[in-house]
Amino acid sequence: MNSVLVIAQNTFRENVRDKVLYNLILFALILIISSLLIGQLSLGNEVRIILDLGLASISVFGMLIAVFLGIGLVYKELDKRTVYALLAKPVHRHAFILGKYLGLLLTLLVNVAIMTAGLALALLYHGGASWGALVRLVPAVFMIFLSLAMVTALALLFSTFSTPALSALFTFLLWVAGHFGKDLLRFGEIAQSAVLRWISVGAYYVLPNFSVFTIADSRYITRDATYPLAADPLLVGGAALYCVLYCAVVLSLAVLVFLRRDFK
Amino acid sequence: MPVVEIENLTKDFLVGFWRKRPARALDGLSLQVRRGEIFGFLGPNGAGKSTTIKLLMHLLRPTSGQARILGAPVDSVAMHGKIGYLPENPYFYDYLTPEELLRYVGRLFGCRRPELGRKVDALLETVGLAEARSTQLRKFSKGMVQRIGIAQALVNDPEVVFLDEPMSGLDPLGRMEVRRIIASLKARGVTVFFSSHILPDVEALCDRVAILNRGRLQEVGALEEILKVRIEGHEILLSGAIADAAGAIGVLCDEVRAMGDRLRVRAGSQAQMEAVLSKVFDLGLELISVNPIRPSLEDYFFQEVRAGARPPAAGFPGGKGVAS
Amino acid sequence: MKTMRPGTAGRPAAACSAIALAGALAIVPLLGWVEARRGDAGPDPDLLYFSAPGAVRKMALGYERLLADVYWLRTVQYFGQRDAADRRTVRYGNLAALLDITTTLDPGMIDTYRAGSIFLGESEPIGAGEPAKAVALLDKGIRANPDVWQLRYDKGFVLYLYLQDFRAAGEVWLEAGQRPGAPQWMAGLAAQAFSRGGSMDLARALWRQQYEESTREDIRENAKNRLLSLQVAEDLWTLERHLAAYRHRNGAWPRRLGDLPARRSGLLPAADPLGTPYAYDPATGAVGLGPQSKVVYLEIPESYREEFLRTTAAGAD
Repeated sequence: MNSVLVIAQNTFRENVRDKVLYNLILFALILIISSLLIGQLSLGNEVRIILDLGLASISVFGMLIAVFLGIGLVYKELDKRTVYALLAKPVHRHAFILGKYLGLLLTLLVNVAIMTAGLALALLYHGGASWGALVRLVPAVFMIFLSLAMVTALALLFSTFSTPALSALFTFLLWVAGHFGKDLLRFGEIAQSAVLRWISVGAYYVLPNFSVFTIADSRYITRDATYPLAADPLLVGGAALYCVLYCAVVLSLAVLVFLRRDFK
Repeated sequence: MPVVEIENLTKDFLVGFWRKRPARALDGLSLQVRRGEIFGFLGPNGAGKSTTIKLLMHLLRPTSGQARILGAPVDSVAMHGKIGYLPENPYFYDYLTPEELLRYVGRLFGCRRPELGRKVDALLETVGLAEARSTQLRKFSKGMVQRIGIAQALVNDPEVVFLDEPMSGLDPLGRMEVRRIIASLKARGVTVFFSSHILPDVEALCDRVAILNRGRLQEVGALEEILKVRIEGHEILLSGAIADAAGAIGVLCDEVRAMGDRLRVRAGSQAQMEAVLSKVFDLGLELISVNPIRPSLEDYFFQEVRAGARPPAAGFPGGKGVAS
Repeated sequence: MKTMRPGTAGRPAAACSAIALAGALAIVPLLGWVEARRGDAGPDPDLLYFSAPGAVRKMALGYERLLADVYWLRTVQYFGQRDAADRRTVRYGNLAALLDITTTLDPGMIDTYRAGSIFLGESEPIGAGEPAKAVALLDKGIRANPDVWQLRYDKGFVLYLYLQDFRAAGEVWLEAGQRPGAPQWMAGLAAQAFSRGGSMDLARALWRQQYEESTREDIRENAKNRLLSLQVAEDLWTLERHLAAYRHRNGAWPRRLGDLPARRSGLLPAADPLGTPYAYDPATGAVGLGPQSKVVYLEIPESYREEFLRTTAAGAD
């Protein structure tokens, strides 16, 4: 799939030249640095606060990057009609979608790496975290990255048929809903009507479930005694598989929309 | 074997917000383009020219009918590797420079690195953008964008090139450039299919033309044949004592007009011409020239198109979103 | 001429639909497996990036009650999943914090205070074994809802049954009796607490009250176990007294429980309330629950034993 890689590389280049990206990274880094200050206010347990705040920043800003860049991925090409010249080349339509997705994933990877490096530096500066903790940052951030991959796929899907404003809204709502995880099922349990219960079950499976990615959080990194799960490789594998499956489903839908489309 | 075969191609668009009604943008088009020729595709706005080209590029799917390019169906991705396309009102990634754009396109065609470099240089020379090669496209004028558009259509040394309104937005110098490029393409054996509503350009370049109006093919054939059919008489230029002679000449012909110190006479038939010529010496005028009047494509166009105009199909929007 | 299929996209579309369908079907069991394996060691509920309940309330942006519901559901889950609790180092370490957040978000959730105080006060492994925190929780509820007599009743309950602070329990019950709508017997309860101190009858009455009135299955279950435990304790103490009397008379432990005279006349219990016979070791004279007993035995304070033995002294043979 040579064309997929070519398109991916070009998408990466396009993102790198987008100023929005730099503002977001800057904010993320500022937040991570300020976690050092906030940590000092908390009378002990500082490493925990720095980690919590840092990981949350990476998650939230990663989501913002994924959304802001993702909603325009296809929409911009359609709106500006750059897609015309592109699809007249020997490029399959699914290669177009996949290439765009991979390009944005690559952008996200680089950004997440930068933010993680910032967090690691903050921890090093603080001095309270062990080397082991720094190493364990990687699986924790990997989990965050998996959730971002899902958000990107959703933003891309909306981008194939909706305006940027609506796409951003829908993707953001799905991101929020995705954090409820099993609570969605519990809502259905308290509901009295069977219809609501079916809806909540449906929502639980259709909506992204980000709670599966929280298995590696700050307690895991600091080897907190109250946290029973060490890095359970099966769980990590299961979560990664879930991400791959979910993204495959969403991207297939995006390709389907794109295939049926007339470019007037 | 013809390089482009179109058979009974029809395209309906669904318009309307709630109850979608079909609007026919292209109705049963059939034509063929031969190898090595420059084929012009003419018509007023809304005639279906862009729709046809987009159908050929598989950007749109036909409602019925079929088309083949170089013997392959239009949805064949491999075939797209042998053709070039310039969209109407093109827009390319404005964050790229021309060099980057051409390299990107080249890599999509599977060109290898070293030869890609040479090709890009040559193309930039050809379209005259060599100096601007490192300027981001967002700073380009429309004419420059048009030129890079032609360049990207030629990256793969295509056998057939489809140009949708290649001259639009260009100043006369730019149009001359494009004409030159198209002519040089023909010289290299490339088949060129282009649509335009700038008739003098079509007249100058095309071997054959097709005329489209409101989605239907009006006429197709070699330019001389289309135009020869209608020799409309002769134009006679006279000089001398034109003021006195004007009236006398006027009764003999269709039209007489004074232009400075000359008289321009339009004789609609052989008889009129002979009558006028015989009078010339009697009236003391001098004959400057006699030329057959062949209509320009423009005249033909307005005439035929108006004559062939059908009442519009119900709901035909002719506006934005439907092909020109 | 090969026809260009109008309208559909052919094979790529079919492939995409197949992928989407297969992926969707695979997700359902996978998600179930992942969630099951993870148990409830998921996000640390009390520190989901917000350490202080006050912060949670501020971030709730007007949806405090909804969030309170969410946190209450999480609390119940946290409490209810026994196997997940088994795996934790501290069984219910976060329970107090969860309840704190829930009640900060919605200080009016009376049932949360009531059920929460039982969860906290009941000893391990059934509950968190932190009756002091239970009292703190109820105090918070009382501050926010001063006229709800049930909260003071519950506070007395915890003080009496878990902390054995009979005087304080009496005082709280006295206050409870003064709240609007308080039942008539509240004053009598207070009086009993003052006068009799640690009393098994009073404990039994309190547990029976809870068993009959609570709407929560797990709390009723717990109350039932408490009542059964009280009955078992009485049975065992009675048996012990009769055994001691027998030994005193005959110089040795009886070979079987059936040898006790009072047993022959049917005055002594042979089996626990759920039907399993009591176990007896003739070598040591020890009695206890049979190994197959279905009774969940919860410890009884020593003061009850003294009171019981005192009040039933008459009647031993």
